[in-house]
Amino acid sequence: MGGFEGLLFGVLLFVVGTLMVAYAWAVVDTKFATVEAAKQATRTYVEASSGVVAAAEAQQAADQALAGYGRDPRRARVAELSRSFYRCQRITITVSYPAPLLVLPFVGRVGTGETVEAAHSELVDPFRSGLPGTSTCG
Amino acid sequence: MRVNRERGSVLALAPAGFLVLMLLAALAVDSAVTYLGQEQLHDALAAAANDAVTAGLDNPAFYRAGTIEVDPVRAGRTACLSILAQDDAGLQHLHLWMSVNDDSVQLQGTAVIDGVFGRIIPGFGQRTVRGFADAVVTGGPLSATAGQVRVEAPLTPLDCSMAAAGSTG
Repeated sequence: MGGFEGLLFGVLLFVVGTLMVAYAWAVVDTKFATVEAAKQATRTYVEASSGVVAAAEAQQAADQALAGYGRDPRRARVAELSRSFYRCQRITITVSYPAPLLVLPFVGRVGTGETVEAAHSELVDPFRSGLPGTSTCG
Repeated sequence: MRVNRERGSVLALAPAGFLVLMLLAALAVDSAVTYLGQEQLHDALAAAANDAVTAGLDNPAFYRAGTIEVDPVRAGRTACLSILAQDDAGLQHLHLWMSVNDDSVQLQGTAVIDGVFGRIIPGFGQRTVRGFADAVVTGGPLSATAGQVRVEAPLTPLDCSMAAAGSTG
């Protein structure tokens, strides 16, 4: 019975440690997905042909980026801080996605943990084509 | 009669083995966090350089004479506002350097990233990441400056405290 305490301590350390590391990894992995989705969505928004289609195209770009990371786009929340679309307008898009509580081999993502958020911001090109008027950055 | 007196010794080694395994896993997570921070820094610099080189163009020179000239003051302010708008809370102690030429903006930056598990061990909690971005504005592939070798101005520190104080949108 001399080593029972050691074995118990080892098992506890292994289980708790693994859960902690697995959850941290799940959050970091989700952050990678949201960062990429926010970047792609913002880039697509500022390069859209018009303000009418910009939001829809940005949403589609975010969905595709999340799907590329193996995430379900329906669980994501994509928010634009500005709906205007003119030269020099700053566009900031935020993507939020709930991180899984645990990622298990052969089972996949289990549970819902903290919501991970990422934002990206860019200007609509002041000298781009397809928009009326001139640059107003100055 | 030979007596085996080593029974149970593996039980004492098991916790130590698990501890090493956990440390390696924690190191992997912290390395991923550092890599994520480096990617975020690069994305922020790329967006800021892109914004600065276009928003920093001298409007009268461009619309009247078609000349491409980047105004250093306006480019610097735009770069600062762009970096601030990224709102990357994970990038701490951000330092920026900028170089403005006639038609291009170079941005270099360093930031400190907090580790997730590394902060438990003194001296391993923070890592510094570096990034660089370069944006060139051209009038198209057949413009006069396309493909030319440019003499680039040296990088100088960019102070964003004024832009941070005045940024409201």
